[in-house]
Amino acid sequence: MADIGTGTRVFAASAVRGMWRKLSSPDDVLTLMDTSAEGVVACVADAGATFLAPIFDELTAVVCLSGTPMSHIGIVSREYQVPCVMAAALTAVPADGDEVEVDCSAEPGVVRVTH
Amino acid sequence: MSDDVDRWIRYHSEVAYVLTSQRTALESALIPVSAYILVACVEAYRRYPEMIRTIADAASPETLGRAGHRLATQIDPVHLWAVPNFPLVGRKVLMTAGLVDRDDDEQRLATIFDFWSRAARAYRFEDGTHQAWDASGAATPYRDLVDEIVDACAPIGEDRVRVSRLNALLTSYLFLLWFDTRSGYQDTGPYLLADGRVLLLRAYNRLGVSHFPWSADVADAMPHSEVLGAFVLRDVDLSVTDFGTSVTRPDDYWPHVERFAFFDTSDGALDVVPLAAQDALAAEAKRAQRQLYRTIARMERRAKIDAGAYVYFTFLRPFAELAGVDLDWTVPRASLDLYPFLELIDGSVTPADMPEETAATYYLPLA
Repeated sequence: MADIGTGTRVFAASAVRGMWRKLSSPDDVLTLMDTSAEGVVACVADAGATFLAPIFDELTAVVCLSGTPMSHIGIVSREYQVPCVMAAALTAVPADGDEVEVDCSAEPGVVRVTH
Repeated sequence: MSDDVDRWIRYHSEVAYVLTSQRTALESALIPVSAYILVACVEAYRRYPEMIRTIADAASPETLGRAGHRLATQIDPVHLWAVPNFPLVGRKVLMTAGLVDRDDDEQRLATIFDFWSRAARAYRFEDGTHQAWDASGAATPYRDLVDEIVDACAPIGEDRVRVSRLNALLTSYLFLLWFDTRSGYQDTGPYLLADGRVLLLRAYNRLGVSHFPWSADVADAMPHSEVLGAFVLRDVDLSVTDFGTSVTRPDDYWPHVERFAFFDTSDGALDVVPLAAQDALAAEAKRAQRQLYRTIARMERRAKIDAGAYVYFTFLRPFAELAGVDLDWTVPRASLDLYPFLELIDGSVTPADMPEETAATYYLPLA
């Protein structure tokens, strides 16, 4: 495994693994809503709460490129108990479908690729 | 009067600077939050003073502040916070554009601050504070109901996952229904219990059909309109912000929930929602959320801005409803001159693009 980024974790949680998906538009979310978001680690740019709303409960983890744990998306991740890293700075961007690990067991939260 | 107004500007500048620094980014790829905030806050600066005078003529600010001690009134931390801060944000925008009339600026703010300070003091039981900010993060409007609430709470036991899921679904659904504002749910506390535990109360506001036009199509089957969640926590340091958001140490409080209850408070009383009804509520929140998401995703950007601005602008509405006055909540009405600039606001403005701000300059004093 290789670390590809760190950020502020929203809450302490064991490492989880899932499939990386960069979500940029509501259509991306609707596609997952109509299929499944199980096992997905969602990467999003903005820290609003609503963008991931209908799939949040299915996600494995969230990597947000902005914001703080007090941002709306951080609040919702805490309530859903979905591990979340805020203001993540990535040194490499996985391709959609790559397996990644989000480790919030210590501060800062770490994002890793597993291959 | 000038000294008082400037004193309140300094006070709100410090609080707002810290709260917004903690929150930082608020944009959503679904909803143009920054643009609608601009519209609503300019409307608030230009229209709230007159509306507040009408409200205060019908009911005293103290009466309205005390109304927040009753359930499901939406007189709560963030609605109170909005009364001075939305106009101040609007003023900040208009000052940048050179559009503040300095001759009436002081009177506008004086009207707003007088109403807010009197209502806020009454909401806080006239203890000398105005906000949770002044009280180390404490806001306990329902203190007189604590015994009744705690008596109705049940051990969480094997229901922890189900309870946390219902809470999360309601919270997430309300963020969407309220266009990415956190005013759809409001936390209060910490209510300190005699045995060392603390009670966190979470009001889930207007789950059903309301004055939000989009609620009519998605929320007509919602079995409960107003719900209060009660969570008894052990070994948790709890505070709340003036946004009505809880801050806990440890960050994840869910493993520390020992007892819980959900109440339907739609008629102002505490009616326990049974377990089976909780499952039905969760299912309906999930369904409504999916439908609403599709609706919002199809909306044009301008329609999203107007809808979000309406949500923000009507933060004053609970005060008017309690006072029994009928006001014009149409938005936009006093900000149309700004719409040509809204296309420039796409959430990509970063702090590096903005002038350096401090707690002292977040809101500027009177000229």
